[in-house]
Amino acid sequence: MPADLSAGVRDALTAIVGADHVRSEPIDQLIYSVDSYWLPQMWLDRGRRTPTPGLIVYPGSADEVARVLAVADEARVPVVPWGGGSGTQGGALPIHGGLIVDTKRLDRILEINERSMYVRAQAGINGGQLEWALNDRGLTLPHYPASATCATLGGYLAPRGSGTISTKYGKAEDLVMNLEVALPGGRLVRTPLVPNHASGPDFMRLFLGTEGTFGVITEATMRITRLPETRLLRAMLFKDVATGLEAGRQMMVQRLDPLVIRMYDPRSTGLLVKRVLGYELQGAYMIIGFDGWADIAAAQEQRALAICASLGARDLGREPGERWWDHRYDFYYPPHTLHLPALYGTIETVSTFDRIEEIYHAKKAAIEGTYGHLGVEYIGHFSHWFPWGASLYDRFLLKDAPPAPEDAEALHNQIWDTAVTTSLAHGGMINEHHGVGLKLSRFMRAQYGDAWPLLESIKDAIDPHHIMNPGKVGFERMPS
Amino acid sequence: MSAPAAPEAGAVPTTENCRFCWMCRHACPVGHVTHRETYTPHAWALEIESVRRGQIVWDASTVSVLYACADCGLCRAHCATDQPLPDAIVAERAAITAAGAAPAAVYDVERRLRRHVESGAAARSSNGPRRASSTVGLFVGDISDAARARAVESTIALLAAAGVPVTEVGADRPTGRTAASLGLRDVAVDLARAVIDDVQSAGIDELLVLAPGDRWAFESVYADRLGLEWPKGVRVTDAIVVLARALAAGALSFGAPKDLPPYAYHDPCHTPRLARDYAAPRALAAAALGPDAARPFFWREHRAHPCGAIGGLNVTHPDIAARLAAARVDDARAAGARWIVTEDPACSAHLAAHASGGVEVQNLFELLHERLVTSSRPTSGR
Repeated sequence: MPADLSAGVRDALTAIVGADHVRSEPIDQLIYSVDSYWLPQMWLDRGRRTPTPGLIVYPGSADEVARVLAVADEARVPVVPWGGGSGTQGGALPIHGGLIVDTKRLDRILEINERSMYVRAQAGINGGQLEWALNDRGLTLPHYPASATCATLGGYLAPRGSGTISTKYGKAEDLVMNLEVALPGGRLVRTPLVPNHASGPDFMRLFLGTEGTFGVITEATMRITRLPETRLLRAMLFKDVATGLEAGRQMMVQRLDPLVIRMYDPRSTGLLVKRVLGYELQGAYMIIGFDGWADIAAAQEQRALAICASLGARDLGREPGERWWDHRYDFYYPPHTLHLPALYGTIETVSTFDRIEEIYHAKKAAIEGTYGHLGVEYIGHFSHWFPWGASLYDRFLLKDAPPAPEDAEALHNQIWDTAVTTSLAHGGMINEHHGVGLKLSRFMRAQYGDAWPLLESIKDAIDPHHIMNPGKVGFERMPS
Repeated sequence: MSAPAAPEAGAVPTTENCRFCWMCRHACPVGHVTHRETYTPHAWALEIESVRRGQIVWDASTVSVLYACADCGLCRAHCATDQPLPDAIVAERAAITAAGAAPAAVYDVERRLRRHVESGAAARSSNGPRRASSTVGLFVGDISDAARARAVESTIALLAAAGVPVTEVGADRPTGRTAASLGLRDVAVDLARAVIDDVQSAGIDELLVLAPGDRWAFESVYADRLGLEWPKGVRVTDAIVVLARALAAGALSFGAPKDLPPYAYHDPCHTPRLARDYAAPRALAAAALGPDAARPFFWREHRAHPCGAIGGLNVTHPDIAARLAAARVDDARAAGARWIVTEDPACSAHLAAHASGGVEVQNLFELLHERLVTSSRPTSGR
């Protein structure tokens, strides 16, 4: 056990949560040393170990979370919040040891309010279980990320996640109404539970996207909606990315309110769509969907089809769209998803319509131009759309990674540098919805430039001893 | 006789797929009641792969973790690519057990089950195989368990009332599925062979079972884990489905339900891993007890969590088995039910042992038998 996790700290934590809820067995330390980030998985795959937590603590209430943080703050011990461990950015990795605070005992639904259409739940509840409970009442939380079955509610919010139907319903951050958060000093704060307000700054949003560096989300209230009367899915085939992007842009600026627009670039169409859905097509495969009242959805779809037709798209019909919907998560299950021993990364970004195509071509050229001789491939799809722009969910993939883990890590980081600097140079962001975590932490200064010191000063005010998830989201200072 | 080659060896690479996949977490009952990341499907896969890579070793702590899996099948049932992780876990347990490194309780179970193999062989040689009086058999199983014996008696009476006489098959025979779950492969094979012998000598073409767990053993465990072939031409059917058909055909009727406490129906352990007629037991319960007055269980049908009477969990991790049962009882209480009703006698006995707070547990076959209105002339309801 590290020196900073003395017996006194363990005793204090045990007094708060009970002996059964403080763990330090080697098998627990191993399991909590890896999340969905490629890097620690690669090291473990090659027989090496990654940093482990000293203790794993399982608080059973928000008050217990706050008291655990008070103990950690007093002892200057790093604290890493853990929900489902399904984040891809290394945000839950205990890179400096310390405490993992696993929130999964906070798994209760506190209120389903069908008059005001919200659900209030503890932050450790599993997303899939929450959705089942809502579906049983004909309701849904319209946040359908690929990690819906494994992430927690807090994990939806901490990195500002996005889901399959965000184009209509918004990202997780657009669906949250209020939060309860445990702060490093041991305080609990709660934001107002109202649809919106203008009563001063919206401090709730301080905790969205900070990935546990400002505190631990212990409860959230989310906007819900009724399951739609109808859901219309359809697939189109465009000759290239440019025409598909233009079709999506027109649907968005004409406010057709699509549920989903997902367009795979020609390489993804030939690779992923073929592998998972079984369609062998050449071009850019696009899914479009509309939901809600049947007559309204049908009218919206008709207008979308007219746009697609005007741009020369081939209408593949309803079955390929519905098949995609039924299997939309299959892309993320092994063996379909990218997996070891390959070297890969999802380098997604977002920008306005006038820049997003340029970013796509620039990143493709940069990655394939720089690393193509090594066998690195670039694929992408456009998956979350706004009336002003779209996100590009792009990836690099190398089937045969260098055998030495040090070499694999170096190449991986080098490709990431190329991808992110290219995004930034062309007006994109370092990330759209996976968050920052450990992986992108080093790019935060470049992302925000002169504004970065302001974010650091906010961090200092909330977490003066820097115990909360050090080394993530750009906040590099260690507990002191 | 030596055991056939272990077919599950081919499933082992699934741990490579599952070690870094979290997608079935929402379905895992053990993870749900323990809240511990280490007790989830991906963690069990990662543990196995980490041993292979020399990062950890099998010791008391790591073996205990591997035996925390309930072998309920929910992870596979909810996997988009059908990864047979439970088979891989069981295969690893078999290697651990053969190496003498399993929990002591596992070897206690082995000794107990070995007695069933030996006593069954003795009974067979002294009495000879049962001759069929019907082409339909009922798998009796280990009726040294009083709860099972009562359920068997009730089921035979109900089937007779429905016009479906049955031959009793496999008396005093555990199916071997628990042995297989625990990694006791040799005993599991011996038990399974004994059952298969009984079925073959009974001359039946259909075998009815009391619970989904028995059907899973015959349809999947024997072939997939033990490398044994189920007798050709003998189909396996849930007895509860046969009774539901009889009810629908008017061949069964029950006394009018009144003044009965509100109940909740519990889908037996192993339900989600099988193709299952979820409506059949509910229709029977409704006919005998009235409509399910309580809001149905959250953990039901394709997402039914086990009650804890599964996979030998009550000997390797009685604390988790008890928590699973307590969770079901809490569910029932929260739903306003005062009875939990289920047809699997193992489930009803285990739940009854952990019932509290005014919730009681009833076996569905026994309840149906008690409330059966006998007709003057049995009519085939098949």
